[in-house]
Amino acid sequence: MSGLASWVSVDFRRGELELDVDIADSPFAALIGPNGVGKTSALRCLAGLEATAVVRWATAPPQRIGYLPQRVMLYPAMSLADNIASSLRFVGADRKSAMSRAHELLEMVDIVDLAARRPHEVSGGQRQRAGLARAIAATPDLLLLDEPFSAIDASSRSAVRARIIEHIATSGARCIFATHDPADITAAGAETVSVSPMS
Amino acid sequence: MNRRPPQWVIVLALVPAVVLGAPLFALLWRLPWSDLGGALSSEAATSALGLSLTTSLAATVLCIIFGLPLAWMLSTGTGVATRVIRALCLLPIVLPPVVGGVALLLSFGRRGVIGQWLADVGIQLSFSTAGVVLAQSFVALPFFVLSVEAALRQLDVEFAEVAHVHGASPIRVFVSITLPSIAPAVAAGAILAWARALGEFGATVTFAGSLQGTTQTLPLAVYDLLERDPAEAVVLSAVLVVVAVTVLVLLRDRWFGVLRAEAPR
Repeated sequence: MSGLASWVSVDFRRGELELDVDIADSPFAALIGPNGVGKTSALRCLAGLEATAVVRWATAPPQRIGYLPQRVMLYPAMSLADNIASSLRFVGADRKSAMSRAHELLEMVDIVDLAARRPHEVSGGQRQRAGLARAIAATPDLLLLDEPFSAIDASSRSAVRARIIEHIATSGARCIFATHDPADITAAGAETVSVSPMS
Repeated sequence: MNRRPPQWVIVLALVPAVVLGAPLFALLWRLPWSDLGGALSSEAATSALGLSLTTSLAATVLCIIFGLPLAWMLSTGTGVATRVIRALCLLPIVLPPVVGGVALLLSFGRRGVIGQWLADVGIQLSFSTAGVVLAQSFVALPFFVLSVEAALRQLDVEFAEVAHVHGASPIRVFVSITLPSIAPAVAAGAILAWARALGEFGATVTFAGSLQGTTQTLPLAVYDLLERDPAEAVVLSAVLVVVAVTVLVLLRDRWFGVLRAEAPR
């Protein structure tokens, strides 16, 4: 796997993973490959969470990242609305505007009636919806999403996915996501990057 | 399969239950029920109650202020320094309180290593109310730190990672994400530390003495009154028993509580 104009390349120094991404043509890049190959690690490297990774940005490095880990990890002591608002609060928004934005995003992912619930009080799919909203809330210029739609029920997955993709595309952000679902790739019109461990 | 233990095991098991329970019943039995109010309103009792309440709360606040950073540091460290500091923090749990008091005298007493500097600037800790707070904090801190550190280690680091990626500073992550997530353990640790501070005897009597109104806290007053006015000593003891039972009830199941993002399976 190699990129053409390498927008980003990751060199995972534990010697297992090399990743070049060229998403010049599409704002979306999909990381594909079998379980355990390093898709999650690649996303973590890009998020700056792996001290051993060296990330080279061919273009300017992202100023603001939105991140959805595979296990979502909504903050347990906060309501879903507060979880989403937190992304805005961390970058300086005042409480009132952060909360009103959070409610708009909750509406976008169809869980506005769960705004006051805590993460442990909702289902896995509902947590994933809230996690997506939290990731896009602060209008990041790079989104890192780890299997972002995998837990959402089949009946509403394509609708939620279409709205999220549309939102990202209009915001001008780039998005790198890991997926096992070909429909995700088609829906986003994503370039695919097959991750393979370095031999 | 019959999982019940044989009868002789049950008999052995009941011995400590009786040994632990009998003193409590004896205390209640000898309580001068008709004169509870009178016993509680004597001068020795009120000053001891007031002093115990203020000093133990002050000690708890100190444990929280200094214990949180300490627990945070200990929970992230792996090196030798971390292990040495943790051992030092836990020492008061296994150290006889009297020895703790002696050690406090040698360090913070008027001629102590640090105490003589403090004396130069006019601060005297030994045999003062502040000294009571110091002695109580000394014995109570490990309980708070242990409880909070265990919760911090148990908390999934990925919560903090997400907040970090989303632009939160380390302090912000700790205050907005980590601390609320371990709130049950912080509360449990504070209650435990407070109970330990309230019951402190050995270190206090050694380092601060037993001066009514200044350093004579509830446990010291109980010991002091036992010869002069046993009935009153019993009443004050009962106060401490009530506090202890309340703490046990409050702490049920939540010693090392950590919030989770998912419902427990």
